[in-house]
Amino acid sequence: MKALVFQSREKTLSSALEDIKKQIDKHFDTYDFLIFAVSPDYPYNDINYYIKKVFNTEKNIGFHAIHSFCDSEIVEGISVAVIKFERTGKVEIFYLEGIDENEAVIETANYFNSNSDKLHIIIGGLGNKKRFGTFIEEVSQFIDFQPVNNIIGGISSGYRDANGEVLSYQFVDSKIIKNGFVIITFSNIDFAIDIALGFKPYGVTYEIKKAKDYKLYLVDENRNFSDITRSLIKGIDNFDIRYLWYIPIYILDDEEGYVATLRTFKKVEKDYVEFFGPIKEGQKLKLSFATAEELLQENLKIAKRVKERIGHSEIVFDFSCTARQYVLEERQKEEAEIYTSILNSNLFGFFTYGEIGPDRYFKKLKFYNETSIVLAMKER
Amino acid sequence: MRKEIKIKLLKNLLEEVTKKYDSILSLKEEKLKDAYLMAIKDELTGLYNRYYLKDCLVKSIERLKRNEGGKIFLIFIDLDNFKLINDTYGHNKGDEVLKEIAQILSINFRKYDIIARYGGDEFIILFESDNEPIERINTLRQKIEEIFREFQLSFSYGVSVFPDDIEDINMETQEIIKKLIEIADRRMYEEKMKREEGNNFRIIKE
Repeated sequence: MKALVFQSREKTLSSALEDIKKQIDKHFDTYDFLIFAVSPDYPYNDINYYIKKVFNTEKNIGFHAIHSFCDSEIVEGISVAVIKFERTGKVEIFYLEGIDENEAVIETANYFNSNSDKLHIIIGGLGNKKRFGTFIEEVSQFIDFQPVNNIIGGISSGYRDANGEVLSYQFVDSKIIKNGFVIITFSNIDFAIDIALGFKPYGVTYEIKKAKDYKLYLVDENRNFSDITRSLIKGIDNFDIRYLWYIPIYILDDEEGYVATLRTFKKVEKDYVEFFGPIKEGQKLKLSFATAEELLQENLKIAKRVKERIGHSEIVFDFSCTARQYVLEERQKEEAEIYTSILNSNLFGFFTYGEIGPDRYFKKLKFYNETSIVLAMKER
Repeated sequence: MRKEIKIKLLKNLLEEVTKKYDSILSLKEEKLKDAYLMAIKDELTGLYNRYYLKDCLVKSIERLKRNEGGKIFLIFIDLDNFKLINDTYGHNKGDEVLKEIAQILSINFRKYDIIARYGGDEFIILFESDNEPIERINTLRQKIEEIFREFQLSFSYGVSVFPDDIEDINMETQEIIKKLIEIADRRMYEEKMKREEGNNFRIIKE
């Protein structure tokens, strides 16, 4: 497989795509697949049109990403991974436009079950009625093969536009997927994955007494978790919810967590705290903290593990949480630098609104926050 | 970058952890206290139970073994005509009477005397003093007879004394306790018989 990553920060969508096309043409006569990470700053209604116009191909998917990876660079524009198979490698696409539909969970699980020997990269949106994290954990219950070590991905990152739409969409088959997902399925590929955490739990354990979907209401002794959270931000002027991304909650889930499941704070309301992932009653949690150095040490550790497993890789994907990016501060570029240097390969990916990966025993799919999921692959 | 914010977050986190830790500790202490009280108290009367009494006896006897001087009086009380109350008025009434007796005993002994419910209607008082408690016991009996006149309730008692009643004070403390209880029980029984014979109190056969 020949796989390279290109990027453009041109101001308009068409000029950015033209710029990328020129770069690709210098390295490829033909290619099999393109994966676009597109900033939500570009008009999303034009994305499918211009990709088709500039590249004249249907063999592509795109998704929103505020910041994407082009090798060791963080791009606020467009990054694209170009894949050209040289032996038996193959790529297919599966997508659903609505995860709220009754059959969506079963249909998705069936797709995974009937392609259990392939590698799947899933990229979804935040979800409307049903959140994507909940959807993934529901799908997980119907997966009937093991080990579940071949499905990873992330949630497109975007922001609310002037019309109130949260731009975390996918673009495929001339369609704009607003409440669904896209799966890129690779056949005849060797791969290795790993998940970086770096956060350490501190202090006492709380038991979740009342929670629903992504919201946490009460912990033990019926204490309002909102009150606890407020006490954590006491004395901080001009509070920004992102400050709490330094101290995500750490679900003590030894049975299921590949690494511990972290949950990133989204909103602090009077009676509840909302996170970026599902919260379940009966779970136990601690508060956690990490420095940028600790996060990067963990990136280094998993990069070495992946290298040991796969040896040479032809392209590397990184699905790293936006909250992790925030905690890494001015060192956020170093994560991509570690992966490209240790794995000695081109890197594509983006800062996500949630990561998807296997659990500890590869029995289920899990929805993660504040992790970095790395995938290294090569054609068989 | 954002160093001040991180420091404040960590300080607040530490404060929350300390608060939660303190609350866990105090909850644990409360539970331990409850468990301890449950282990040493008689559920019905709130008096100490026989296990706690024996613990206290061990400590008192060993202290007296080390330092000469002082006496331990072990007062064995057995209620007279209590069965009649249970049979006539039911067990609830019987329980009420036992609770009242417990209260009267507590009031009429000193705070540091150990008053224990030993069995159904048997009580043992561990009384440490240089002086005999006989007068105190007789006054108590009069009081109980007055209060429970309608039930013809009274009690018989026997007293054993350490070290006076023990020939060899160097014997095992547990053996000493066994003997002291046996002696007090026997003396209580003798008193009961004597009172019946002397007809100074009518005991309805239990």
